[in-house]
Amino acid sequence: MPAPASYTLMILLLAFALAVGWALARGGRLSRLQSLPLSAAGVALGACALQIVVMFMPVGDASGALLRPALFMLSYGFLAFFVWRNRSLPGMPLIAVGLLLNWGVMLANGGYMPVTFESLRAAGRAGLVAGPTTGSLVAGSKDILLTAAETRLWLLSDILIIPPPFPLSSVFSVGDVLIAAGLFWLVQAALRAETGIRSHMPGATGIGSQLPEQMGNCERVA
Amino acid sequence: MNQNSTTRVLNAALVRVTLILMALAAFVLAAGAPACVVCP
Repeated sequence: MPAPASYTLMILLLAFALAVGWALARGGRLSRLQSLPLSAAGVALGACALQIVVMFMPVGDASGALLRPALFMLSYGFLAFFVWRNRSLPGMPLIAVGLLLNWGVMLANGGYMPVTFESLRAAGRAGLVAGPTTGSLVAGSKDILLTAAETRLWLLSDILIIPPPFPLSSVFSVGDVLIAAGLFWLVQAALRAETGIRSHMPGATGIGSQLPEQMGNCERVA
Repeated sequence: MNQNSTTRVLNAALVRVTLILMALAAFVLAAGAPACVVCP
């Protein structure tokens, strides 16, 4: 069964690509990204991999029905750890709020992100689900079809719609917007920092923290 | 020798930039509420 979530995924990827492109257009350089003291990168990659595995778990039996949302929530725990480890980076507080909003609404709705059939239809995506059957899980996604009345914390669920004829018409949440905005902020700061983003974060450790010394070596041997 | 050192540093930087980009992309995909792998 096709997944309504796919369009949000694409939009978030597009937001990330736009953030990089915008920074480059304004004089930023990808090479500056190496100075970003990002910690626990493997945790973010692992959380994403875990979600991919869970999305393709069979949902037919009872154990799967319990395990899927539990593993989704576990993956959000990993993501929260990633955010905590990188809390000093620009934009990360905004990302943290967005993550907590998404995590919260999913926790309140059995571990899945609620989306209404009406929202899908308004986005021109009604054909992606078999019908408006409430409680249906959408394979390959974190979505569950619920009515607005059945949805806890409805305002935080997938209620924001980009309707056709806009490209990538989609349904997404307030949390998604905050995550995209925070990431945009982070990418601008990382790619456009004249002296390296590390100078703003004393004591930071991570992927990029050793590079200035290495680049110093590079300058010496050049 | 010096060229080899420079190449190693540049390769390390390229790997680091790639890893950071992958980590950020993975994070945004996982943190975003709905997601899918095989998009229609």
